[in-house]
Amino acid sequence: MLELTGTDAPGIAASKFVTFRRLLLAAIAVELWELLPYWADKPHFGLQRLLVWAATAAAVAVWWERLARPALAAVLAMLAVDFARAFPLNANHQYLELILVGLLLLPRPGDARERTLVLGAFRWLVVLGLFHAGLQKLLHGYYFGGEFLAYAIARNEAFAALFRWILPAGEIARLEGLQVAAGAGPFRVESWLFVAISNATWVGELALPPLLLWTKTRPPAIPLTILYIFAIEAGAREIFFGSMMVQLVLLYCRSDMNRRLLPVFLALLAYVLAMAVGWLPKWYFS
Amino acid sequence: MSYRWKRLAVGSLLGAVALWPLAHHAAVRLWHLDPWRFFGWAMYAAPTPYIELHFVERVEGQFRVLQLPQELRAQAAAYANARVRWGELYPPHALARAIARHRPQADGLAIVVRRYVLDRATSRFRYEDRQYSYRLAGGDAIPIPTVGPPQAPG
Repeated sequence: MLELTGTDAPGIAASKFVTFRRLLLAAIAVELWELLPYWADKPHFGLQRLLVWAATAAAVAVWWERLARPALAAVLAMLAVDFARAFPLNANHQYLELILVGLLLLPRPGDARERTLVLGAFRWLVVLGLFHAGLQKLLHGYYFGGEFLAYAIARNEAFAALFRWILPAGEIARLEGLQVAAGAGPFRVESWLFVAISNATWVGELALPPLLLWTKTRPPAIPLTILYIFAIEAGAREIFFGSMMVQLVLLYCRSDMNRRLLPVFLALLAYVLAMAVGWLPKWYFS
Repeated sequence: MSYRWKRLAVGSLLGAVALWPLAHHAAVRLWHLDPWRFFGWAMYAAPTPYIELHFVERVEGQFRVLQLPQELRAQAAAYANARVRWGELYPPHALARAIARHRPQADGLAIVVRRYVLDRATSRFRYEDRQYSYRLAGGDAIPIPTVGPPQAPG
C-alpha cells in the first residue's frame, strides 16, 4: 500500500530526501521571520526572536549531513513549542510541518530503504490532503452554487481582487457590502463561469489524487496538480502552504525536480524574507 | 527501531491522517467545532464561524437583559474566542460563575450563544441559539438542563 505512490532508485531517493529537508527548514525559518512582527507587542517576544534565530541557524546547518539530524530535532522541538502555544489557533499547515519534520527524523543516516519509506509517506500526504480538502467541500455543500466563493469575496480582499476578472464590478461591490448578520445575502452569483469555477475546485481536489496514484496518469497529473495549486493560491495567497504542497507533488517526479528548482524556491523564500524584514514592500503575498 | 516498526509507525500515521478528517467533519456537524481548525482539511470549505453572546438575569423573579459590567467583558470576549474554536464542547460555565460573583442580587442567569450560519437553501445568514441556564446561589452558578427550543427566560 505504501508503495502505491511510487518508489525511487536509492540515489534519487537520497537526493530527494536531502533537498526536501533543506527546503522545508528554510521555509519554516522564513515563516517564523514573517510572523515575528505579530509577537512584537506580546509577552515572550524575546523568546520568539530567539526561536527565529535558532530556526535560521538550523536551516543553514541542515545543509551539512553531519548536522542535519540535530538541526531537524531542534526544529521539531521549536515547532512543538510554537504549536502548543498557538493551540487551537494553529493553521493546518503547522500540523503538516510537524508531521513532515518528524518523519524526516525517522530514517537512520544513509539508510536508503528508510528514506524511500518516508518519501512514500510524503507522497501519500499530498493525495490525502487534496482528497480530504475536496471531500470537505463536497460535504459542507457551499460550492455547488458558489456560496462559499461569494462569501469569500465579501470577506477577503484577495478573493475580490481575483474574481474582478470575471464578475461585473457591481456584483463585486454588492458582495463586498454584505455583512455577517441575520438575513444578509444572498451569497450567490448569477454567472455560469463563477459556478463552474466553484465546482471545479472540489472536483479537481477529488479527481487529482487518483490520477497521481495511477502510474499511467501520473505524468500529466503532476503539472495539472501544480497548476491547480497555483490557481487556489491565487485566491488564498498562502505562500508557505502552497510552495510546500508543490514541493511534495514534485516528489512524484522520477528525477529530483525540487533540486532542479532549488534556486527558484530559494529565491522565492529570499523574496518573502526580504518582505518580512521590511527590505521590500509587501505585495501580493502579505 | 527496526525497519518493520518504522513502517508500522508510518502506516499508522497515514491511517490517522486519512481517517481524522472524517471524525473532524462529524465533530463540526455535532458540536460546531471551527471547521478551519484542527487539521481537518476543511479550510475554505465553509465560512469561518461567527457567534454572539447574550445574557439574561433573573432578579426577584423578574427577567431582564444583562449588560455585562466592564470587568467581565474581557473574560466574555475570551470565552467567545474559545467558543468559536471548540463549539459546544466548551460550555460557558466558568463565565456564568464569574457573572454570579459579580451579581449577588441575581438568582438566575441564561447565557445565549448565537451562532450565525450561512443557509445553503437561501444563501443568506441565519442564526441558531443555544441557551445555557443557571441557578445562582452564594456566588456560584449551577447549570440547569435546558429543555426544548432555546428561548429567553420570562
